[in-house]
Order: sequence, then C-alpha cells, then structure tokens
Amino acid sequence: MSSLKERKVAARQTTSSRDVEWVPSICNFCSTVCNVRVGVKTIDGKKTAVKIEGNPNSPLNRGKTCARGQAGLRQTYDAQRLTIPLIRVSGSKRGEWNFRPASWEEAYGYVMSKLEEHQVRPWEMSMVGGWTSCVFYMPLALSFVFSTGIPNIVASPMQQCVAAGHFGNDLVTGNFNFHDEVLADFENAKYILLSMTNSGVAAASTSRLVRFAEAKKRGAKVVVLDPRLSETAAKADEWLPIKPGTDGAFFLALIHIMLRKDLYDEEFLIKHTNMPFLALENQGMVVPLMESDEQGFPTSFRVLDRISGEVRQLPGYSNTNAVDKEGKNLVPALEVPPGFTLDGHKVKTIFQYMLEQTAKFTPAWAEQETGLPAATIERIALEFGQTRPALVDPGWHGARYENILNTRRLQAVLQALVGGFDTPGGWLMSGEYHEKLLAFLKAKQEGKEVPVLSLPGLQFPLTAAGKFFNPAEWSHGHPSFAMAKSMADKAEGKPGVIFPAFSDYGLEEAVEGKLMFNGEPYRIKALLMNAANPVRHFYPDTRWKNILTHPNMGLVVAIDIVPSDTAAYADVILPNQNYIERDEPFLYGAGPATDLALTTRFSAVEPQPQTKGTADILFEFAIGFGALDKFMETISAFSGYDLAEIKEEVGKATNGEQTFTQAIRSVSFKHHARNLGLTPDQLEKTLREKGVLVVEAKEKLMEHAAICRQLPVPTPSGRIEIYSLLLAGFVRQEGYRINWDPGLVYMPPALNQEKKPDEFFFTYGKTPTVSYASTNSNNPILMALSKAKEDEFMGLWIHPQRASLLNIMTGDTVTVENCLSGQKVQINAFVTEMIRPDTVFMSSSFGTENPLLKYSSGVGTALNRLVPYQVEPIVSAFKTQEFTVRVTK
Amino acid sequence: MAQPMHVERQEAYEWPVSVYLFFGGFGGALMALAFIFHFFAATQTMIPLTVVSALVLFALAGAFLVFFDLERPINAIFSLNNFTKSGVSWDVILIGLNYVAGILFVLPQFAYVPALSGISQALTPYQVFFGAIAALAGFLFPIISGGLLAAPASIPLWHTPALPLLFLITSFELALAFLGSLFPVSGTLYTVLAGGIFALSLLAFGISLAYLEHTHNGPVEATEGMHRMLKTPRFLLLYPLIGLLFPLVLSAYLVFGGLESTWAMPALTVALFLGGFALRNCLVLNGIETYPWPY
Amino acid sequence: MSRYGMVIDLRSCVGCQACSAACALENQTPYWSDKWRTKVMDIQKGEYPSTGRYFVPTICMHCEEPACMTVCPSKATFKSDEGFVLVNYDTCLGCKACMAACPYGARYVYDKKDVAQEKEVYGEASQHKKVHVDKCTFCQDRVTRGLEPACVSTCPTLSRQFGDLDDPTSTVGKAVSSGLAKPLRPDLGTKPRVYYIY
Repeated sequence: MSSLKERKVAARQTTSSRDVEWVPSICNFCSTVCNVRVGVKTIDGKKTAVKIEGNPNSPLNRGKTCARGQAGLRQTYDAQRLTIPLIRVSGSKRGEWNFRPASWEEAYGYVMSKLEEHQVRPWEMSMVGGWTSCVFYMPLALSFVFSTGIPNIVASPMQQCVAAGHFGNDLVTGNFNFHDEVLADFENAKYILLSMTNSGVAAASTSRLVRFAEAKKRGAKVVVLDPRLSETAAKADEWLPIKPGTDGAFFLALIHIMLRKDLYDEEFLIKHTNMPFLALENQGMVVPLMESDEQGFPTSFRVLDRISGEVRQLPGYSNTNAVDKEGKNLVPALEVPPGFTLDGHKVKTIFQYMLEQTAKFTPAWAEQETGLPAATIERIALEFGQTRPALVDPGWHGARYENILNTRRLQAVLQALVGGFDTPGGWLMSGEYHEKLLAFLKAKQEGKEVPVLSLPGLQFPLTAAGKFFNPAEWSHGHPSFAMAKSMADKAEGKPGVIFPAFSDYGLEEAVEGKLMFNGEPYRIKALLMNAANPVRHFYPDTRWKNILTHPNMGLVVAIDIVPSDTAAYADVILPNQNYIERDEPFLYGAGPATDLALTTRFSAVEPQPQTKGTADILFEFAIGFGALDKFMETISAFSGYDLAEIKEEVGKATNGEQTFTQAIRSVSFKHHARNLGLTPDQLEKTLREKGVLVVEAKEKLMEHAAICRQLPVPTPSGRIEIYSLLLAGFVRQEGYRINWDPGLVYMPPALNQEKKPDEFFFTYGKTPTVSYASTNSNNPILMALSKAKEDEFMGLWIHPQRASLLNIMTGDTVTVENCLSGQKVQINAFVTEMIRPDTVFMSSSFGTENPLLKYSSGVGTALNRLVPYQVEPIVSAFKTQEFTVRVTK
Repeated sequence: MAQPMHVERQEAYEWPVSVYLFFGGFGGALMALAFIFHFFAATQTMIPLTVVSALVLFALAGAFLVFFDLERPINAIFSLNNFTKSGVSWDVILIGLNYVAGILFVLPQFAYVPALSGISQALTPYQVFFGAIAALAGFLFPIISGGLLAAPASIPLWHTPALPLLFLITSFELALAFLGSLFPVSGTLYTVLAGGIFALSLLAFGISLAYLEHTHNGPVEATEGMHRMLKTPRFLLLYPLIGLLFPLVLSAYLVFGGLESTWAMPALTVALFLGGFALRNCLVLNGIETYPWPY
Repeated sequence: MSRYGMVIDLRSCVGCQACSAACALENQTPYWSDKWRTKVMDIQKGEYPSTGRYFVPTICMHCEEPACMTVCPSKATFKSDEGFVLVNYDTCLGCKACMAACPYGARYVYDKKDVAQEKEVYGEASQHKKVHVDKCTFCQDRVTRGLEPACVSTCPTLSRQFGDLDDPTSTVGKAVSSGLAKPLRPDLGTKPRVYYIY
C-alpha cells in the first residue's frame, strides 16, 4: 500500500483551467459585453475551450463574469449547432424543421434565385438584427443597406429597450450610442434609487453589479421601486412595492419637493441646464426665448443676469451659461422677479415654469397614484435631496407602458437636479462617448464633417435613422416601411409614430400588401435576419409567425448559431461562427466602460468548418447584389476607414487569400493603430496579451472631457435639457400631445383600476441565469441552475391572499388571460409574499419552442404569447404591460 | 412572527442504515448472552442456535445491507484505516470479531459432527477465551453503533451519550425476550428472565427520559428533530407505547404478578422488535436536518 | 504557512449563481443531476410588504475540526497541507457517514451515472473517474497555482473573498479579526474556515 502522503498527492483533483492557454474575447451572452478570456487546451486531439474567466484587465467587468458568462462556452459544443447551410425542403411549410444541407454556393444561389423569382426590389427587403448585430456589426449592417438600397432594418433592442427607455434619459442628457446605457457610479454614490431595472443590476449586468456591490459593502442606502421583490429589490434597504406603471408619479413628487425645498444643486442648474432660460407662455405652451439658424439649430438663448440685472444672450450651443455670447461672465437667475416683462411679454424662467407645472404633483397626489404612503415619498425626497452624491439609476430595458419615455426622462431630470453627470457617484458617460464627443466638437470647430458612426450621442440616431425616414436619401424614393406606415397613418388622421427607428411598425401590413406609399402598395417580400429571434423577441409571437408564414413573403434568410424558434421559419439558414470561435471584423470600445479603451475578439478554437462570420456573409451578398464597390465606399464613409486600404484588403479576400472578416479586421487594426501611434502588429500583440487596451483612464478623461463642466452634450442646446428642445420640436412638427410635452407632465398607465378579484396588473422581468428570451437559453448548466429554482423562475408570482381566494397553490397550472387582447397562456403558479397582492409577475426568460433546443424547449412560458401588439407614438416602443390579466385555475 | 430557519437536509442515511444498526445491536446482544448462558443454563442446542442467529443477524445487517449500500463496496477494504476515530471502522472490526470469535466459540459444541470433531476438540480449551472475545464484541457493538451516530457534535439530535446507552439496553432487552421465546424456560429461570427484561425496561425508560431532556435543552435541531418524531403517529405508537411502556408493564406483571405464560415472551419479542426498529429508524431519518444558515 | 479561508458577504450577494456555474465548469461537478459544490440559497421570509429575501451562498466550510473527517472509516477524507478538507477518490467507500455528519450539507455522491455522464461531456479531460463522495476542494489546484478559487475569482458582487485568515492585512483577515465576519453555528464545534458577513 502506498504511503498516506503519496495517496494524498494522488488524490489531488485537477481543475479545468490547469495548463490552458488564455485567449481574450468578449462575452456574447448579453449586451453588457463583458471582457472575458477563454481557456483552451487540447482534448482528444482537438483544441477545446474549457473555461471562461472575466478579463482581469477589463475596466468594465473587472475580471468578473456572471453565470451566463461562465456557462457560455458550452454553446460552442451544443449538439444542435447549425454547422452547415440549410435550405428548406420544397413543399414544407415555414415553421417546420424540414431542411436539406447545402453548400454555401447553393445557398447563395438559392437566395438570389428566390429574390429574382419574387421580383424583390431593394425597398421590398428588410434586415432584421438582434443586439449582437447592433453592437458588433453596426458599421457593416448600415453600410450594407445603404449600398444595396435597402431602407429597412428591424433591430430587436430598439422597441424593447434602447429607443423604448434609454431614449427618454437621452432627451435630457443627449447621450445615445451602441451602448448608450450609462454606467452609474454606484461605488461612489451614497444614496441609490432604482426603478424598473432588475436586469440592469442584479439579474445580471456584471459591469454594474461589481460597482453596485461596492456600494452595498460601503453601506450606501439603496431604495428600489418594484412591484415585486426582485433580486435587486432584495438588496434594497427600502423596497417600495409601487403600483405598476406609476414610477413617473413617484419621480414627479420627488421633483415637486426638491424644487420647493431647495434640495437641488443650484450652481449646476444655473450653469449647465436650461433651467434659467427665459421663456414665455404661448397658447398654453412654454416657449423659450431663442433664435435658430435655417437648419433649426439654436443660435441664442436669453437669461436674466442676477448681478447686473440685465437680460443677456447666451450662445446657442455651449456647455455653460456662465459666459454670454459676447464672452462676458454672468450668473443667470433661476427666478425672475414677479411681474417681470420683456418686450411687453410676461416672461419667466424655465425653472419657474417647472415650479408651476409640478405644483400639482404633491406627495399626497403621488400616494393616490403609486399606492406608496405620502410620508414615505416625502422622506425619500428629503433623503435623496440632502445626500450627495445621490444617484437615480438610469434604468435598463424599457417598453412596458406608453409613459416609459416620460418616466425615464424624469429619472434623468432628477439626476440633473442633483448635478450628477460625469461626477463621482453620478452618471458616467463611456470612454468611447467622450472620445466621439471630443472629435465631434473639434470637427465642428474646424467645419469638417464627421463620419456617421463617429457621431456622438443623439446625433447618431437622428442622423442615421433620419436617412431611413427621408425618401430623398434613396434612389428609389422609398423611406423605411415603418416611416411609410407612419406617413399613411397621419394621412388618415392617426398619430402614427414620430421616430420609428429600426422598428417593426407596419411590417405586418407591408407583408400583407395593405401598406400604401405614393399610391402604390409598399410590400416587404424578403427578410435577412442576423442573430435575431423575432418570434420570441417581438410582441406578440403570432404577429411574427404571420409575417414569416404569409404567402406574400418570398424569402426568409436566417444567419444564426443554434436553431432558434425563428430559424424554424426560415427558407435558408446560414450557419454562423459563435463568439468563442470567431475573430471580429472590428475593434470596439469597451462597452459603457468609463475608461477609453479598445478591445476585440480573438478566435479561441477552430470554427466549425462550414460556418462563416457575419462579415463574410454580408460581403458575399453585396457581391451578389453587384454592390461591392459601393459597400466598400460606404464602409469608408461611415466609419472613416481608409478606402484604399479597404479595397486592398478586400481585394485579397475576393481572391480567396483571406476571409472578408480578416480583411476588414486588418483595415480596422491599421486605422486604430494609426490613431494610437502604434503599428498594427503592436496593437494586435497588446490586445492578444491583455484583451483590453486602455487608451485613456477615466480620471484623465474627467480632467479634460467631463460633460457639462468641460464639454457641451449632444442635445440641441449642448446643455442638460430639463425642458426638452427635441420634444418641443415634435410639438411644432406634430402638434401637441402629452407624450411629447417638453415640460414635466404625468401620464398615468392605461390600466383598469377597478379590478375583479381574479384580475391583476401584469409585470415581467429577467432572471440572472438566462439572457432575455434568447437563443442562448439552450445551455445545460444555465438550465440546471434555472430548474433548481423552477417555481420562482418559471412560475407566475401571485400573492397568497389572492391565491387562496382563487384556490391556487404553488405548482398549480393556471391560465392567464389578457383582458385587453384575449391572449391566453398556461403557466405554473408561484404563490409568494414577494409581490403586490394586485399584481402578478412572470419571467421573460423562458418558453422556447424549437424542439431542437434540447435543454430549453418547452421549459416555462413565453412572455410574448401574452402581450399584444401595442406601441407608443414616439419610437413605437412596445407597451408590454399596459393591460390587466385574468388568472384562473 | 417568528419564521423558521432555512433547513439543510442530508440524503445520506436511509432505511438500510437503521436496519443495520438494529440488527447489529440485536445480534451483538445475542452473542453476549450466548456467552453468559454458556456458564449457566446452556442446553446442547441453545448456544449454537443463539450464536448462529446472532451471526445471521449480523450477516443481514453488516455483510449484506450495508455492504451493498456502499457506493463502492470493494473499497470496504480501506474501512479500517481510521479505527481510532471512526465509528464505522469500529463497527467493521466488531462485526469481524463477532464472526471469527463467534464461530470459534461455537465450534466445540459441534464435536458430534464427525467432520468437525478434530477441530472442535482442538478448540475446546479456548472456548471460553473466544467466547469472551465474541461476547465483548457483541456487547460493544450496540454501544459503538450508537456512538457512530452520537459522536459528531454536528448532529445535535444524536449527539448524546444517552443514545448508545439506549441502543445497548434495548438491544439486550430484545435479545432476552427473543431467547425466552426460542427456548421456553419455567420456574425461577423464567422469573429471572422476566426480571432481567423488567430491569432493562426500567433502565430504557429512564434513559429515554434522559434523551428527551437532551433534545429539549439541546440545540434547535435536537428539539426540532424530537418534535418531528413525536408528531409521527407510527413512531409514537411503536416506540413509547409498544416498545417501551408495554414491555415495562408486562414484565412487571410477569415478575410481580407471578404470571408465567407461553405467549408473554413472544409478545415481548414482537413488541421490542417493533419498538427497537422504530426508534432507530426514526432517529436515523430525523437526525440529518440542520439549520446552519443565518436566515 | 497560510491559513486559507473564505469570507462570504451576504450584504452584496444577489444570487446570480455565477459561483455555481464557475465551479461546475472548473471542477466538472454533476450539474446534470442538480448536484453542486456551491450553490446560492434564495430564502424568502416575512409577510408583504415587509417580505425579506436573502441570498446565502453555501459551500464546504473547510472546518478545522471536520466532522466528516472524523467519521470517515477509510481516511479518504483528509486535510491537505493547506488545511483544505479533501477526499481521496481512490479510497472512498461511499458509506456516506461524512454526508450525514456534515451539518452544512456540503457533500454529495458522484455516482455511477454521474461518472458516465461526465465522461460523455468532458471526454478524456474528465476529472472524476471513480464513484466517490464529492465535495469542494477550495480549488486546491488553483490555489497551489497562486489563483483564487473559481467561485471567488468570478463573483460579480465581490461577495466571496479568499485569503489568509492569519494575515491581519488581508481582506478576509480584517473581516474575521474585526468580528464583522462570523462562522456559522460555532456551537457545533466544527470551527469553520468560511465566515459570513450578515
């Protein structure tokens, strides 16, 4: 027998990460895009990914990853991976999994022949993109549609999240980019207020979680508004189970008190917001005294100088109100004396108008709306107003109610009242955003044009989406179908949608041939989907199933990694490399990280031989459409890359010397290396070693590029716009509607308040183990973790008081019926004290249908089977909770 | 409102373990009694039968059930590694001693079997020696198997010296009643047997009360575990009533009431069998719940 | 020699279960049978609206006086030089006395089905080739390479900290010596090396 010592050594269990080679990558399991590294080693003669860790060099996630980030590598080895191009067997119906394997040439040929067969003209196609497409391939996708004349992109994060939420914040701050979520500086804040954002913190966005954790450890006070005790609410010092959809009323009451008790950052309001601007009332509307140029950009505002008592003119675009147009210093007054007139008009400051507008939003009023005690609301307002730094999280995910943009905007207004932008404990703009803003201001000074993709904040969507809305931008004279639908609506006297950016608004009508434009039907006959799963991501599933299976739909192409629910509706499936396998065509900023940094993915393991990168697929299509040259020119124009370099590298790719992905990647490396004063090889070596290259640290950036203090923001006035000039523009353009009131208003959710005992408000949210209703859900480890918490993760949360009335117990199958639309789903009940008695909750993470998704198929209930098609009129945000439901056993 | 703590429940020991503890203790007691009877009332058949039944019970308990309950039976060879501390190791040693010493002890009784006569005669001078070893092993087994449960402080329901004692006493009680049924005796011997059972019953009653005191004043798991047991009708009926009070009363009647009946001993055996098993089974199944978490 | 230990801060844990996933991949634990070396309990208490929800990560406490080690008949459970409580897969009987003795529920059986499944999932790289009672190793293999355990290294809420308990300058040393972090159920006499802040 061996000695005890020897046996102990023999007993040592190795771990997966022993002897691995680490390859830097970016997590693709949610749009937090954490920097990770993939551990690879040779197993059974094959290079295999065995472990993922957070990249310790990451300024974003600081070496950490969540459960999804950890388990993600198993996607690479999913037994059901799409590994070869598939073409639908003729005679089979979309929705059936009935495909035959094909070569890439055959697949491309099939696509082209179908487009020809159905005589699909450029505007009769639409791209459909998931968030992966948005974050990693925006330059290619935009260039592709503009060079091929396709004026349509439907992108899944827009109506659900980016446009339908963040855009509300952005109206105040001017922010907006691919990662336009703001990184709230939890770790330096002393008071943190969160609303409708479980997904953005605890369920789980690692970059925020690492910062939030520091706040918890430091003892910052956390207040969470949520009708249910979510993971985030569980960490609150005070959980406020607010009545669903009334968060806006809560914020207005806070603003009401803070304005009246002087609990605002007066210097900030005076210097960096439009609160001191003089305005007058015209036909019931508050109109600032301003002048504009021909394009509508403001050229001057007027304020009352507190020192001289004179009315002075401020520049139209500036970060500060402390210097007037003539370069003289001043201190604008927040309030003008009673009876103050200018040129015979009664004039007041925006601040004074805001005081008037908020007069009715008292705590007692808010108690009626929110169901929270007035005393609590008043106390939170005092605490929030008296603590510095205080922080209201900007929130993740939007949709839910027609008032979502207003609510998110009020959150930004509240943040403005405490002056917390680019300050410790405030909202920190990303490094990439600062870089773009600096470049934009420099170009503006020099009178140069900025490439579309380098436009900072709101400038980007206004310009990029503006191109889709303007028929004159397209040789065929067609705007996007969504804009065409909106125009048709307006012609019929309906409100339409003002800014249907990357929206599916009108798609069903276009497919059915019911959408008219210039007296002719505007049809959509073909869809090219990349990393998109609209059958699960859009509302309701039946709408998209109808779109995809409609006889008028000539061709559906899906680029995907695993057989998603939507892929089953495709005619052609093009297998994509997954994030562990692929080199990316670009270098990226490190998401919302506050340091200015560069990162990209490196191929960690050999891709499946028959899979391709998205760049290659788009290039092949561009060649097929005869638009290669234009594609390259557009890429160059949009991203500022050198055209000669693109042509040279792409030339090598067309000769088969390299892939198109490699071609664009090397152009991208050259471009960035040049800007950094490095050689492309040096840049590549650094990134391969570290994964992330920090170009300029947050502290340095804050010294010279802090918004407000140093830089104007991309709002029309450059100031933080508590009175929104953009919304005022909508009023001028469309006439008044409360949705785009530029001041402070409340929009109650359209919910039946006189409910029967079996009728409930409806809410949904995310679980930490699954990314939305994503194709990523088919993961054995994540599913095991989820199933261990089956009741609460997959069940319908219902309060015991109501449950006992309805004789419902945990585990019982109940029917949930939408009282508005009549949609019905079955789900298991989870009876819990963690939710308001008048509200039910379910997770949005489950309910996939494709039986090939071995682990996730049939598990749980899909949210989008219960939500009808309802959109609000600014960005066509989905109103995913604006209804009540009936629960029966 | 006080909220219960979050419970941690182990799925380690199931019914085979209680069968093992029960039969092991029973067999051990039989072995020890066989040795004692060897000096007093042994008939020609009594010793072999007692030893054989002891060994069969051990076989059922140790060699089969628990052996096959192991995830890796072959590795049982390593089970002696930790005999200084581990109750399981001691159990294995005692089972082994019981077998070896028990067989050596009983072989001289088989001198009449031609094939065994040689070895029987050779062993006869050592019969008492082997008998003593077997008896000691048998006596210790119920104590050690109780100690197996009682040793770790981490399982409060079990962590009391009352437990091995209770296992010891109830094992001997049952063994006495069993022998009384197997070999009907009468007169003084009957009274002595009944008196023994009565004395042990009284002891068992006292130790049961001491055990109750432990669970009442011990850590929350002990109290909770006992509450659960007392809420189990099967347990309440089988142990305190049938396994404890009934033998106490009946044996008292046998001793003091002067009753000498043929059904009394079998009745006691059945009652003590049911009670003894119920006691061990409920203890095993209820001990492995703890409340380690702060909420 | 360092006296390694862990501090788990319940104030920041949100129950994301990154630890469970990291551990499952690093140590090839049988997630397919819902067995984990570390998991996060989601405890709900109280009545609306004062409902409390608490996340409590569980893991082997690597006790100084491990009850599981005392009861192990084959000394398959032993303390390594680092003071980690480990299992020798070669000599484990699978008698489960350790499982019964552990008051923290830290052990489970890596059974025949699990071994077969592991072979299928991980191929020649499988780590558990024999049936045994399995438990957390504090990622001894990582710690000897100068790394933190996988669960600690990935924890997005920094709820888990690992280090030398005797080093008064380390995060864990400070938390323990100040009394902020406390062992669970010290009355059971196991002297855990995992401390909780709650």
